[in-house]
Amino acid sequence: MEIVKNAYFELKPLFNTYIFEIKQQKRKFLIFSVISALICVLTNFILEYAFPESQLGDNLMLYLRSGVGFVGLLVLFGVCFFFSGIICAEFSAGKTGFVVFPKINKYKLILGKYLGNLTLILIVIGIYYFVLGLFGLYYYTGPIPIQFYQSFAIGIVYVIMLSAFVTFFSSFMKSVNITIVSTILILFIVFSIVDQIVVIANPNFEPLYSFNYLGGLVSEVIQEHFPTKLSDRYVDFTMEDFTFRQWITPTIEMGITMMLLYTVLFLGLASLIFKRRQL
Amino acid sequence: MKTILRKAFTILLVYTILGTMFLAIGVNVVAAGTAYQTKITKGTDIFTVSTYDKESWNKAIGSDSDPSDWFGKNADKVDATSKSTLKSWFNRKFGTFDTLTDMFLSEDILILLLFNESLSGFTEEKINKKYPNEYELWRAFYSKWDFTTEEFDVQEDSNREYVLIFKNPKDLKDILDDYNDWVSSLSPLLMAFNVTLETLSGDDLLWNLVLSGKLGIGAPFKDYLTNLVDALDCKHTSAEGSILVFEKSGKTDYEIDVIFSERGIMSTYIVKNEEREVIYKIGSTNSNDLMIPVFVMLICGVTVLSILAIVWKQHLDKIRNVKRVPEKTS
Repeated sequence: MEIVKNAYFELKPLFNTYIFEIKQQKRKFLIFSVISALICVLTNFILEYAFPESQLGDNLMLYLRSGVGFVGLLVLFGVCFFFSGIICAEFSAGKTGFVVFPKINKYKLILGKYLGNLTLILIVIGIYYFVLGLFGLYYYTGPIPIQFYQSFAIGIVYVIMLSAFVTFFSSFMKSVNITIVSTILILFIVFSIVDQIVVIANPNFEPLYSFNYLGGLVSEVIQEHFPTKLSDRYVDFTMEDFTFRQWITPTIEMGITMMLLYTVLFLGLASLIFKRRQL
Repeated sequence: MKTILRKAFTILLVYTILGTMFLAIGVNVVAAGTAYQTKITKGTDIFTVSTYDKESWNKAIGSDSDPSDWFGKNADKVDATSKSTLKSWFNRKFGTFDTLTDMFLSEDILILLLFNESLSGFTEEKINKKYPNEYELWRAFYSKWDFTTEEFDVQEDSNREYVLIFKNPKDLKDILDDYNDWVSSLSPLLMAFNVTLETLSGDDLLWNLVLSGKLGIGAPFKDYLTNLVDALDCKHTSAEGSILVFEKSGKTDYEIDVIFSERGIMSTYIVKNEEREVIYKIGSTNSNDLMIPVFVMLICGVTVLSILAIVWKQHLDKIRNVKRVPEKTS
């Protein structure tokens, strides 16, 4: 009974921070939820009706797979906007970061904020999947294939990985805006450029380091027969004696493992830097 | 109170604008100026064999055939289902060559004719020169799953099926005449290749289009079907509303009703014997119809929740204001 009581008192500040953060971010959440639903309605309904010649996928699986393609973009922006202020915002005037004896344990505060934002972004992604699923039923009837749910599950892991990455940046950046801009630039541009250079330098090297490549698993998992052979997981393009390789997807096991490894790495680094920053 | 009204008004305005946009898209499809319009929409039709009285079928049509000869394998099993997903459509003018190949020629015959182009004279240039008619039509593409008594595979059985809707039903008479003329001129060559391409009557053409799943109609349906049947000078086919009725004879006389959905696509097939009893029936449901109530409920739910949230927030603000006022005065 004592253990339960202790746990309750230990977890109560965490829970309070979690609820407080959700309340704080509700406007951002509403905006992203509406954007998420609108993107889905726009691409799956309005455009489909306005341009009848644009072809739906041959079957539900292909339709869902192409629809899920937008998730990467949504996750990227969502994560950057939700998580960029997690740590660095605490070091602005009047916040807990520099307070020597705060009323709440700083790690609990950060963890509560992290979990609050994570919940919100996962709901936003959930809304997108839900609306996409409804449109799938609207155009094709059911049943929704199991791969769609697997994609959602991998999407959750992908969100956790990216959120860890942005939290890591937030731990040493000075302001929220700089964190947003730099993480978007890195995730959008830097990884793409590095991927191109690496693939040209060594086409046989599978770019498991790349967030873009790992994120591809979210949509690529939606296919009837997921490629098992290595040679099925990349495509070679030949142009005038030059062969360019495009890696499509990691294996499910390796993709998830890498995402979890990145999560642990970046959250660990973020907590270390956060600790040092207070000294 | 004013704020509540203003916010409620904003929400209503947003929904009105969105509603108008959706309506405009719908109206755009329907009202584009010419006599007949297409009402096809992207979505899936699920066909189910609901009735098959084998004994009556054998008595009326004959035991040497069964529904699978018309509608594909497993169509002779009650509760077997098939589905077609309409993926896209476009409207264009086609020359005689394209229309002939789309409507009358199987892939085998087409390959044969194209391989022996010098003998058959079957090139786009030559055919379009000899038959210079142009046909304006809607061509809608769909994926098709054959009849099955089990669950549908993820992968479709065919993804290159299409429905043809002539903007002017009278054009079907022109293409039929061109086809018959072309086949007559080609007969000796076809015999040499052991291929049969027969000249067709209007009734035959419609029946072939029904069996191949290529027949679609424009709106208003009743008018379109009547004009279609009249133009083709059909003797044993008639139009009743949006139903095409084929009168045929096997062992006895029998009738096949092909009912078109509100999208102008074949949705129900009913075979009746001489006594007008239903001996075979395929019915269908459309995915759009099934999901529209869900969407309506969802939109209503979100609207109600939004209004409730605004009202609740206003209520809370009011309570807070009431609490603050005495504090200030004291």
